[in-house]
Amino acid sequence: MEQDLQELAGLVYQRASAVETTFARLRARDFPTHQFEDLAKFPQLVAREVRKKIPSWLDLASDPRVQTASVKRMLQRYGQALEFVHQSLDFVVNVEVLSIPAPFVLFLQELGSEFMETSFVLQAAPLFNYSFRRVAPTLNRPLLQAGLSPRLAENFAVFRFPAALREDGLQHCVLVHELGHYLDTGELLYSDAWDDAGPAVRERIERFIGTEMGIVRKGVEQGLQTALFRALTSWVIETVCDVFAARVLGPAYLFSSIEFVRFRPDLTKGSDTHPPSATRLWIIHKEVQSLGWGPDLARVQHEISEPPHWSYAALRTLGQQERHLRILERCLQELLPAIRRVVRRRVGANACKRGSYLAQERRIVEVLACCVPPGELGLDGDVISPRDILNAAWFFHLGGYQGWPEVPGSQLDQAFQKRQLLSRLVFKALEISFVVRHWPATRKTGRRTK
Amino acid sequence: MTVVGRERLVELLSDDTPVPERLVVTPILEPDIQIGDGCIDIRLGNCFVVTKSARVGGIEPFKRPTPTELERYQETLYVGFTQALWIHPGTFVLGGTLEYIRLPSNLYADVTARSSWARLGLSIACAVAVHPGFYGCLTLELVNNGNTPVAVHPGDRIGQLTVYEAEPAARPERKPSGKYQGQIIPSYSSLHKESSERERWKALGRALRFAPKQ
Repeated sequence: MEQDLQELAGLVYQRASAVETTFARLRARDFPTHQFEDLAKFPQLVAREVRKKIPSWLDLASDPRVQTASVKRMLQRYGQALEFVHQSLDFVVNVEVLSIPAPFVLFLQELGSEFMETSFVLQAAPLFNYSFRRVAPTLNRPLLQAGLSPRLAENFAVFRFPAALREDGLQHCVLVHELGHYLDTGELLYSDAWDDAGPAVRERIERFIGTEMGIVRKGVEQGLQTALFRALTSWVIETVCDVFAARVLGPAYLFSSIEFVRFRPDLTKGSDTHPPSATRLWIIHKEVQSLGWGPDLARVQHEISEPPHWSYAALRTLGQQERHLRILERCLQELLPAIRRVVRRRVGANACKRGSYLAQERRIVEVLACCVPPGELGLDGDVISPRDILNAAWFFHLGGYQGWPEVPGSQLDQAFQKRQLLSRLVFKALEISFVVRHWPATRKTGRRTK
Repeated sequence: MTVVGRERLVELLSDDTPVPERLVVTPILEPDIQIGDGCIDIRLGNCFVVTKSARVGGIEPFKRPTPTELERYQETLYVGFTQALWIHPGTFVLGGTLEYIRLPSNLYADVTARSSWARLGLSIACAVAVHPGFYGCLTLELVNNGNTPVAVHPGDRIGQLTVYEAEPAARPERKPSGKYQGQIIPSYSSLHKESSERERWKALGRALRFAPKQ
C-alpha cells in the first residue's frame, strides 16, 4: 500500500479522535435544554463513524483491483467533513452562560412550538447583536457527500444574542424577531406575501424598479435590477419577522426594538439587508397599535415617524444610493398590506391582544411593585402568561419603577440596579409561569419533566 | 414570636391578601403536601455554586473578590430537572431555592432541613434566619455531614420554612440594593460590603498601640 495513503489515513484518524475528545469534554457541561446535547453529540457521532470506517477503506486499498486514488478521495472527504463539524464548536462554546437566561430559552421554545416544530439553541456571542442561522444544511451537506450517516435535524438553528447582555431579560424580547426568521425560513412567508400582494402591486413595484433601470448606465441594468430585487426580498423578510414579533409579543417587542436600534447606527439608514430603523419602528408600531395597544404607546410616540411617501418625480432629485433606498422603501410600503395579511393569517388567535392583558394588569403591577416576580398571582391565583410578564416588565421599566424604594448611589447607578433587579424578576417569573403551567401534566406521566 | 399555623399560612399566601402584607412563596406546586402546620416545604432550584479550591490560597471574607478571582474560586452549575447533583462527604455546595420568597414586615422565618434529608447526613442551612422584608430566592448552604455521597435533584423538597409572626419592623421595606435582596440564583458572600467596620477596628488597634502608657 502507498506510503502517503497510510499517512492520510493516519491524519484523518487523528483528527477524528481529536474532534471526538473535544466534544466529549463539552458534553460534560449541563445544558438547559436537550438541543444543546444534540448539537454537542453530533460531531462525536461523525468522528466515531469516520474512525470506524477508516480501517475498512485501508483494507480495500490493499486489494489490487481497487484504485488507490478513489480511496484517497474518500479519506479526503472524511477530512473535509470533520473540518465542517469542527466548526460547529463555534456554536457550542459559550452556551454555559445560559444558566441565567434558561427560562428565556423555555419561553422561546414554547412560543415557537405554537407555530412549528422547533429545534434551536441560543448562543451568547461577543457582539451587541441578535442573529439567526440555520446550521443543519451547512453541516449535513459534507456528511452526505462523504457517505457518513449522522445528520442534524434539518430545521436545527442557532440564535445568537449579546453575551454581555445575557442578564437583560427586557432586551432579549428582540429574539422573537429571530423566531420569525425561523418560521419564515421554513414556510417562506415572504413569498406568500409577494403572491398575496396581487398583480397590480407587483406591476407597480416592477415598474418602479424597472424605471430605475432606465436612468442608470447601460450594462449594469440587469445587475442593478437583480440587486434591487434581492434587497427588496431581504427587506420583506425582515418586515415579515418584525410584524410577526409585534403580533405575538405586542408592545414589549416595540420597546425592545427602540432600545436596540439606538445602538446600531449602521441600521439607521437602511442597507441591502435591513430597512431603515425608522421605517421598521413605524411598521412595528402600526402593528402593535392594531392589536389595541394604542393608549399604551404614547410614551414612545416621539420615537415613531411615518416614512415619507416618495413620488417618482421627487426621487429623481436624489443621489443614486439614496434613491435606491427610497425606491426600496416605496416598494416595501406597497407590499406592507400583503405582508400584514399573511402574518395575521399565520399568527391567528395567538396574537397578543391588549384586552387579555388589561384583565390582569393592575394585579401584575402590584406584585412587581413589591419586587415579586409576576409568574403567578398568589396561592391558587392566576398564572401569568410569558408575554404578559414581558409586557408588564417593560411598562414597569418605562413607568420609572413606581413603588420601588430609592437606592443609594448616582442616578445612573440606581437605574442600572433597578433594571438588573427587574431582569432577574422577569427570568424568575418566566420560570415560575412555565413550571406552574406544566406541573399538572407531570402527574399523568409520573415522571419528572425536562 | 409565635409560629404561624397552616390555616393562617394559607390565608397569608392567598391572592386575596393585599400584596404588601402577603407572604409570598412562589411557586407552591403541591399546597396540600407543601404547606404543613407551621411550615412550608421548599424545593431546590436549578443553579448551584461549587468551589474550586485548588487555585486560591484561602478566603479573605472582607475583601471584595474580583470577577476573575470569583471565576477561579467558584463555578456556577445549571442542573436540569432530569439530572442529579452528587454531594460528597464533607463537600460544601451553595444551592438556591426554586421558590421566590418575600416576607412582609411582620413575619420572620427560619429555614431548616427536612428531617428525612438530615437523616442522610445533609444539612442545608447554616444561616437560617430570613428577616422581615426579605425578597428573593434563598441561598442554601448544602453540606454532606455523612460518609456516603448523596444525590440531590432540582425540584426536591429539601427544606422547610417555619414562619413566625413578629413585631412590624421599624424599616419595613428593604432596599433593592440590600446585600442579597432580589437574588434568583445562589450568590457569593457579600461580607466585603461590611469591610468599613473591620477598618474601624484596625484604626482602634493602631490608636491603642501608639497610646501613651499610663
